[in-house]
Amino acid sequence: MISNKLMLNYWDYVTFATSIISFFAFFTYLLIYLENRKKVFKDPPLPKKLPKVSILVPAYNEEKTIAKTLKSLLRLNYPKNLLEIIAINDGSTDNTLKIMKKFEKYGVKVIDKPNGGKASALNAGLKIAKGDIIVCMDADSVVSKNALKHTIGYFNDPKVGAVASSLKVHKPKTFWQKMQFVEYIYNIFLRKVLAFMDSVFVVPGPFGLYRRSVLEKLGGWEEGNLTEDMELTMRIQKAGYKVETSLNSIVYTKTPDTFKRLIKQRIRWYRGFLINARKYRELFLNPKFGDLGVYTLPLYIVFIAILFISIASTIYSFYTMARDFLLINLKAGIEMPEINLNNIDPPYLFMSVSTIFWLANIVIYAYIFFISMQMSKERNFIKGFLTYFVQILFYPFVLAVSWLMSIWKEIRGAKIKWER
Amino acid sequence: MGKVRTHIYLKAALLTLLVFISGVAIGWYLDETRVSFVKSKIDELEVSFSNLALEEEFYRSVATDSKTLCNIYISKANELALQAGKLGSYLESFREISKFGLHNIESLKDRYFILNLQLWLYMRKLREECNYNATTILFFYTSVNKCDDCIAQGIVLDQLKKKDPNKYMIFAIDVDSKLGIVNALKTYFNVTQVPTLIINEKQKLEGFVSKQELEEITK
Repeated sequence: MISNKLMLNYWDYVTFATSIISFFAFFTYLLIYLENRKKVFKDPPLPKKLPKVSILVPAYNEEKTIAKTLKSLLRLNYPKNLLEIIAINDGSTDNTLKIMKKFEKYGVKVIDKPNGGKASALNAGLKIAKGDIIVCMDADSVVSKNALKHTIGYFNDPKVGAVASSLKVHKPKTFWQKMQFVEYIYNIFLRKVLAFMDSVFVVPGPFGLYRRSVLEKLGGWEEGNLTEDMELTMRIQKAGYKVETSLNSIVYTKTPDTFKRLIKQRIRWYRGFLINARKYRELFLNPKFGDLGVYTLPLYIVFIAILFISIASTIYSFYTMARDFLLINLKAGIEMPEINLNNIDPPYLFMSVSTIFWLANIVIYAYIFFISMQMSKERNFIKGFLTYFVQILFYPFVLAVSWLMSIWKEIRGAKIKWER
Repeated sequence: MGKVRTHIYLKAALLTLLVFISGVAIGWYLDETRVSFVKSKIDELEVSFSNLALEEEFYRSVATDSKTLCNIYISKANELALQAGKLGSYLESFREISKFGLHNIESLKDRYFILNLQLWLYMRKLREECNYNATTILFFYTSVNKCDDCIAQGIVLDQLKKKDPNKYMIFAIDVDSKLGIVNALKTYFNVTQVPTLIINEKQKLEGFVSKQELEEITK
């Protein structure tokens, strides 16, 4: 007789540990959300005296999208005399500059400079910008009309240094863009919740607003950094300023359409995270920086670990299945299994503890996705959820591969190539 | 400078603990359900078998036509053997997923083996008394150590049984069982490895045997 009453194997312990962490993260986000539910969509009112705003549009070979970007900026609902649009051509080799010049008659200022990376273009724009609020706008994105009206009010609080917008995928067409659509929706929820925890550690490039005085005090964008937006946000957080985000300020951005391009973009992002996490390592586990230090940043690292563990376990179980198939089923002769649900009565009897925890995880994250859909004002729930369920099957692999390659490149110390 | 929202973390930790405990409780409940499910099936089978044996003894004592009796009891015993086989596969798959009630599953397995071997002896008797042309196969396997060939052999035997349910009477025996009768059979047939098949209590086949080979041997 088996003396050991509890028969837990390695896989069960992994499931328990990862489930506990993900339940904890889920409840933290949910509680923060519930605590602030009433002010989720509420943006602070505009100040009586509107500030002057300068929008910087750095562009490197963006001939396909720059016109749309500039048009959307010109349509912004904001007094024209208080709005300055500066397009910076960062040594493009295509028609970007020519298209920019066409917009000069609408008051767009154009700077032409030799190629030096996005941060250098932004800094060049900052030099001539006259606004009190500086906006960074990627040249592959389109902004909604009221974006400024919803975001400017946050600067009434003198502690606010930056404000992020809600990012959505612009017209998702390919499979990979649809997968990113789900991810971006989820990130809209996450960014808002993190803002309530003073924990936003990246203000994305498309339509990120900064207080000019803060930018000047901190010295602008760091040139040569792989993810200059994340670097600046972490610097702003470290200096003790707040970073907010508005759900009503929506920006549509072009996302990688193929697997290869997606992986390339992610390697840049994640390697950028590794570099900046190391640069700002004193923030990690430091109660001086509040939730950002003790919760958000460490949890991000833990989630990368969970991602690897889950993928490794999945690959291992596929390996076992393949091995069993080769050694057992091929030997015994393959016969189509009789699918007859009456044979398995009752079916729930075949559920193990691990299965229960995995199901619980899928359910809670579906619920988070539901809130995310509401927050990003997406109404097509059926389509959204179908995409979500396809996404959880495929996307973790993409993320894990990207993280692995980023870590590998960082360890090897591969030369940093700055690419858009 | 920054604020640490300890009250949120405490609440979240409490809720996490609650969900975790509920998950474990559901798992434990399912284990108990599995045990009582198998237990009720075994109870049923035991009653059916005792009843069958008793019935047969009664009819024989009042001397009804023995040929008719044979036909009736062969088909009834066949039906029981089929159900017992199904129960055996339940037991093996429950054994793999049960985390908290394994000791109960193990003791049920003993009852199952005893019932199974009673059926085997009964079938043997019917075969002799009724001149019934069936093949009984004793299948020795292990569930303690990983044994790919045992699983493959199990699949092959299932296929045979499905193909001709009346011809093949298969009784699976876990060599790691501590039951006296299992030890007696192991010693009697000199079982030294797994899988081992004993055909009609005469022929011993060691190692994996394919479906074609088995059909050839039992033709």
